[in-house]
Amino acid sequence: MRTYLKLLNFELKRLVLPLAILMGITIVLQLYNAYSAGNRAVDYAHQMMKKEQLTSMKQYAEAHGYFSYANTFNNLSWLILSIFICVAFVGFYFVFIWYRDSLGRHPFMSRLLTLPSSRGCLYWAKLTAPLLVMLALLTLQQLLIPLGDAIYRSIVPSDAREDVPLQLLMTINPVLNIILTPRLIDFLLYYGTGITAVIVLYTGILLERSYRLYGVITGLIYAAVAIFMLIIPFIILQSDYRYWLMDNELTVFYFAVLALVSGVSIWFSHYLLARKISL
Amino acid sequence: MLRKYSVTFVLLAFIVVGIVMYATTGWKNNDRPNFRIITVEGDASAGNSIKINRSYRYTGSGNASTAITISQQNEPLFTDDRVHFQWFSGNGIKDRLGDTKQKRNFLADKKLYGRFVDEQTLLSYINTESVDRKWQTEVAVLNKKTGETYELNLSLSQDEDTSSWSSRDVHAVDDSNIIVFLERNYNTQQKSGISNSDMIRFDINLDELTVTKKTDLTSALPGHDNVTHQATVTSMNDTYMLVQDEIYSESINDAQADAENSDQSAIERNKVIHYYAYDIVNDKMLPLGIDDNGMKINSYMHNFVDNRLDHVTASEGVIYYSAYDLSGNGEALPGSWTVDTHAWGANTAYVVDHDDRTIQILYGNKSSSKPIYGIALVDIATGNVIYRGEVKTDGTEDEQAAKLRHLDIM
Repeated sequence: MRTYLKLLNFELKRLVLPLAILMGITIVLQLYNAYSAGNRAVDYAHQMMKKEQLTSMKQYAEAHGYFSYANTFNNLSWLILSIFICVAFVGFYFVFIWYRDSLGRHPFMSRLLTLPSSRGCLYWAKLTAPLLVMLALLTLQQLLIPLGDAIYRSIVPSDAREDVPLQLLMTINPVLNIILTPRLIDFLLYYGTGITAVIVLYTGILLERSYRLYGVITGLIYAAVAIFMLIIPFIILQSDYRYWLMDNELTVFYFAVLALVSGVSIWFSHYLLARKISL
Repeated sequence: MLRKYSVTFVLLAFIVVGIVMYATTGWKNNDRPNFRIITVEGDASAGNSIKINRSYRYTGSGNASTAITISQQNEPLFTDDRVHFQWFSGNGIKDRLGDTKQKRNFLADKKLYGRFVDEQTLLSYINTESVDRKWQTEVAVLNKKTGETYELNLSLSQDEDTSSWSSRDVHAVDDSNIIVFLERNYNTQQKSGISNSDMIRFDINLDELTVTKKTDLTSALPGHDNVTHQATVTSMNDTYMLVQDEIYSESINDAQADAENSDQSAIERNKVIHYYAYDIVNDKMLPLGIDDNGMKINSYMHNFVDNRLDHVTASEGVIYYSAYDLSGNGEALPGSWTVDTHAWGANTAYVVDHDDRTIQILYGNKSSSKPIYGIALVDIATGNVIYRGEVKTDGTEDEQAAKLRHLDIM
């Protein structure tokens, strides 16, 4: 356990700078998004008021409807761009975390693999570190929504503004609706699937590290089989066969498939890391 | 240890904040704005079951709107008209009715657009469509007690003047017999698109899978000679069916045929509606003395209570109640009343709910300088207001008025 904590701390220290940069980019883009959306709304309202000789924002709202921060959550905007930048980095790092230690003349991985403890700790540290970074970014996202909303409200007058709950903002954005879904069962399904995908990816990477080219081919086949197993519940869901199972039975079946695929992949990864990996 | 693993602990603490934020709902629903119901008349305790709830709707055109619902819901509603990926996107009726394995298996191959009726013992399904230019109705019934299923296809009349058939309702008489109600549309007018429609009743024995009786319920109703008429079912219980018979005068048919575009207001002006109570058990059609012709009705409600039909309409802010005798000649019973919501400052009112003893009315006036929204419970027997409450919020009078003006009653 201590070794795991040390390794986890080590991996997280490496991620501090990229995480800080990502957070900075996300904060700037999303708060700028709120600021620019508010100013655009007010500028547009002033233009129309001048054109139609309206004297107040109230008259504008009665004639043209209300502005809402919700509009930026529907369109392609800086907000969605910031989320995609974070997703792209985390996705990239899931692969990079193994290769950064394996490449070069004196790979650092050789020192990690010769640590006087189970190699499983290394695996778990490399799995959980990027996941914790992902959770930290989710926390930041939750903090930025009310901040952005407050900025928007400070710019657009209440006479021309339709305030909606922050939960609605999360619901109408298709990306936020998945990553911050309000339903716990959906949350477990989405993140369970994502974590399983990462575990299968790690197995593929370790196959490549162990068997090189043959490992790549084997890894691809392994990933295809794993994906097929995960798709089976979806195939059932889209056919009339879904009515042969109750909804909760289908959900339990899907979790069971996730657990099976994850369990086999983790066991296989541990085996490769302990016995087969080469540098 | 804290210093050694400072990065890990700080990150974990940050994540715990995120978990707490995710789990709590207060900051996400952030009261916008705070609405509550204040009793203005009657017994405050009668309004205990009424909750005021915010409802938010977002449409694909980019508009967010806020409304309030006054009902017995406890959670805010978030409606998104677009479709995202959801684990169970749901097939509506099949998921709603399929609460047991037996019912789900029965529903598996049924078409979503069919008519499903779930009664005490039987779950019935009917679907009418044209197959190879022949109209037919698919009938399927599940006996929930025994698990037996019954299926048959009804071949329907293919007369030249028949333009279409559609399913209306299905009703279980007992475990072995059902009644299927279909609508036959015929003599469709080319320019106006209006057609005659009549209700046809099919009595079906499930054990023998045969039609034991076929009855045309409405084509022989008075006033149907040589005019366009449409008969529809507006409400039903185990014993009675309320039939609304719309008769279009010949003169409007000609005017409609000549008009380039549909003139709905002209159609409405020249349409006469008669009501009939159809006794399902005794196969008798009783004309009712309901006469709403000429009124601008924005909502209505019917309720069968024993041998009485309660008829409630809302028209231009006034609620009209009358009851009709189903065991006699269908005429109005004494005890009708009206409630004029203009006395409360409203200009719009809707009948939204009812039970055997009370009627629920929503009223409002958005155009006033001090908009009001309210709900009233009225005793059916006397027409007296049992409870009336109005929506209030925070802020000065002008701020309250501005917040209320943003809203619509749903």
